[in-house]
Amino acid sequence: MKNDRQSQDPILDRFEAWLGSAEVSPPRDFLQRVRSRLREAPDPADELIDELLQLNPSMRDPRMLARVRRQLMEPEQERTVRRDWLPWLAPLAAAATLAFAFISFQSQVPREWPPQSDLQAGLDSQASASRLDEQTAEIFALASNLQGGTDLSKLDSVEDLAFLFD
Amino acid sequence: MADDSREETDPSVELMLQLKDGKEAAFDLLVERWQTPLINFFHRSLNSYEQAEDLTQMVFIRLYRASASYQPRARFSTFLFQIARRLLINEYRRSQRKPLEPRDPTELHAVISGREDQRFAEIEEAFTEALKGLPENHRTAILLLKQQELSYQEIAEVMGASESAVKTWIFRARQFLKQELKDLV
Repeated sequence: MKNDRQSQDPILDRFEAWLGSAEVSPPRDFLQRVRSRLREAPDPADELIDELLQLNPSMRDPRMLARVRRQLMEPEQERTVRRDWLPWLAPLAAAATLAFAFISFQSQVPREWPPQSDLQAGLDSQASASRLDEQTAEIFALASNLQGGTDLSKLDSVEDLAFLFD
Repeated sequence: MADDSREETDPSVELMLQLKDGKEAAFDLLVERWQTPLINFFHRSLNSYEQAEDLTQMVFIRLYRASASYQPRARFSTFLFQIARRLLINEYRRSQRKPLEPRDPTELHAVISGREDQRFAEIEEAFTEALKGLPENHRTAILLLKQQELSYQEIAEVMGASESAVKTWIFRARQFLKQELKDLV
């Protein structure tokens, strides 16, 4: 025995001796039973799962094993139908994704371009100022007409209008 | 990994290579050599003679089918118990229940035939219960160590773990068993 270290615990030693005892024997026709079973059709599910586990011994997740087993046990016809639908579903899914991306892009335009908003506000402001200048010029003209012969060269600002009424 | 000299001295590796070469009689000798260790390994793990026999048959079927691609990379026992443990884990998952169940009375005569000692039966019952309480990896590790007499390194290879992990499992298993069995003293 390679690992015959005694545990210094009598009951544990007795337990380990019990573990090591050959308690049961195979039936006398065991070899015939194995031979008979070998002639039966193989279980592809078990063998495929086993091959998978051999490739990657870390794949011992029970959920993965259950999924693989379910997939293997699934009727062939159902899997064929699923495969037939796949070529149709793939472009539809791509189109839906693109449409969603476009709508999403469109809905974000105002938030995405704040400088443009400022520019627009500036343009609006300039137009508004332009309209104000026209109105101011008209006021100056009216004031000048009211006073008659007034030196309009002094009218540099709206505040200067005050002198017209001094 | 086994070195060349080790492979040469492992008769089961030789038999497996003969089977690979199409010598069917080698398979019979492999079954003869390993059926008892395997059925006892499964019996201690599952506490069911029927399941133990079924899984032992499965191991030999896998072994036979693997013979065509067999490469002697490790000791034969390591290779064999890797197959056995995979089947055992599948069995645990398939049955979706705890690995050890109360014994079928029809199996008892095969298991404890010739043992009239009531005290011994009680102790055996306590041992079975204690073994049942271990996690699968602890139980398998201690069975491979004490029942199959594999080295820590071989157990590590069988279980896909490090040698230190195996030592830890066995240490914890012993601690648990000491605690569970202390009332028997």
